[in-house]
Amino acid sequence: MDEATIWLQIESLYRTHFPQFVRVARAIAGDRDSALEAVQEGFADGLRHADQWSGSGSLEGWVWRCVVNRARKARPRPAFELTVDERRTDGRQYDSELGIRLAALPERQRLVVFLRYFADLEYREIATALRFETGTVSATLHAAQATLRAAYEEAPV
Amino acid sequence: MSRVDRVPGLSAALDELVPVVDGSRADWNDVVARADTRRKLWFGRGRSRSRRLRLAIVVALLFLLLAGAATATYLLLRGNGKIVFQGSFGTLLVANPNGPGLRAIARCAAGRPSCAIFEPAWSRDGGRLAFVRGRCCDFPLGRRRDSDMSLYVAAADGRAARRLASCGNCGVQYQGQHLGWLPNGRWIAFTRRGPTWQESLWVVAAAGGRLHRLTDCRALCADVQPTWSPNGRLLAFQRETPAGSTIYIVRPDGSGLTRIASGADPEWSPDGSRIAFDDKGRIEIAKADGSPVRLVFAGTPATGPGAPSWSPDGRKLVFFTTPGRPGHFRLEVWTMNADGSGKERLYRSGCCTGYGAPPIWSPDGRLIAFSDSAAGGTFVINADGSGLRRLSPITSSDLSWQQRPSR
Repeated sequence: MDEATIWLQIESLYRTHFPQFVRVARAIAGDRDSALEAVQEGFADGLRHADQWSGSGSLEGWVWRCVVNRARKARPRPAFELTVDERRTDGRQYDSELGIRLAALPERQRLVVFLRYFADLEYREIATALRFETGTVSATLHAAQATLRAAYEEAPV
Repeated sequence: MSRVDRVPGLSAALDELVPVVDGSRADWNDVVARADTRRKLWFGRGRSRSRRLRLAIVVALLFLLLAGAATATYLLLRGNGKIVFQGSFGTLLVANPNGPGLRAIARCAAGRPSCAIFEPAWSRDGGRLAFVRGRCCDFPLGRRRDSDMSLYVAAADGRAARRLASCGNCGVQYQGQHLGWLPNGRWIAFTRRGPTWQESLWVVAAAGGRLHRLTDCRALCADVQPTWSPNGRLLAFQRETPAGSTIYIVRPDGSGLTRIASGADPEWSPDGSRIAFDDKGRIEIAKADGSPVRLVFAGTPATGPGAPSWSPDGRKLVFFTTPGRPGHFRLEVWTMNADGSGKERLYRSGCCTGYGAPPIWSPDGRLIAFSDSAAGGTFVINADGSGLRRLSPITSSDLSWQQRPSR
């Protein structure tokens, strides 16, 4: 795949998945402005280093890696490192026990959840984005789901 | 969102945690501009070339870094060789300026109590050592004219000493260095006593051979302290007569004898444009063309200053002074810029100094060596005045600092 084609595909990805990228970036960086900045810079990284994409893996996963890396750098502090009684930055408490547990997941699990549910990525793409093994993605996601399911089961109905 | 359904309520929780974003703020042109701007800042243009160019820059930087480190190491290792100075009567010692290694490098033969060694002088490349050795003088008791010493050249480790010429007193009754290596290391100028006790300058090949007279000093005259210009085309020296000391220059073939100024202890600047010397309590700088001398330090005649020595980069001079009164002199070591500014005292002895060796620069210009009887020994001090350390407890009247041989 030549570089022009890669550029076109990256542009297409940007135009079709922009909200998902911003949403994941916000989940990592913590606020909307940082997320927007991370997405723009992440895609710019993708263009600048398009010649470094090996072509053997998922281009989408590789672009996600650029954006995730930018979002991680933009994060002023560990995002969503919450205790169960911590309040949201906008002043509202989480409405549900599940939200609290989600926010309190280890970063590794949280990132996998975000990429799985916000970006609708396959395991292989998540593995590329986070530099995990595909099996690790599966195990991490399973652990996160187990934690969240337990919270749901414990929550009052 | 079937995946979300595997955890009931997760979709709502995710929406609560990170609200859904609309795409209205997408701006692809901004992304392209950021990519292009960063590329231009770093490498100008051309995506396909950027990686190779960056690699080339990294390689170039690594090369410069390695070259710098290698140069620094080379200068550190190459610059400063050993310091040679007099040991007990009849011995020459060498020492490393920054550590141990003190040892004898030349000595008189056993059973020759009247033998002495003077005037050690490393060749410019540090590969050979010249000195004078022989029956001497009962110095300083005055029976000087009984001396019968000779000029020798040895390898840098002191071995294979070869006698090149007899030179009588060889000028040792006068302070200073009386052996002058030509910069190319092939010839040595030296002071040699003549049949009527006058002392003139001669040259001899370092490999040995015929002697060639350079100057013709008549009765009650001595030509001493020969020092070659860096290009070897002129020799400056000091002529001692009852009228006082005078600086002259002469060509290697003995022609072109020119008076420069009254004074003593001449030394060429590293670029060969000037000669620094002392004269009646002053340090002055003259040009070889005989233009007026320039005063750079004014002291008092009885207390120095004396024996100016150029730093290897030609920017500074080091010299000594001996403030005090007769019998109660102290030795001080000073540096100053070549224009006389920035005077700085590096060392001051206690009372009382009797003799020693004037300060000399290390080949790399970072250290200064001198000898002082008040403190009892031969010393090295950093050029900024810090780090005074004693090389030897023996006070010497002659010092020479070796340029570390390249092989």
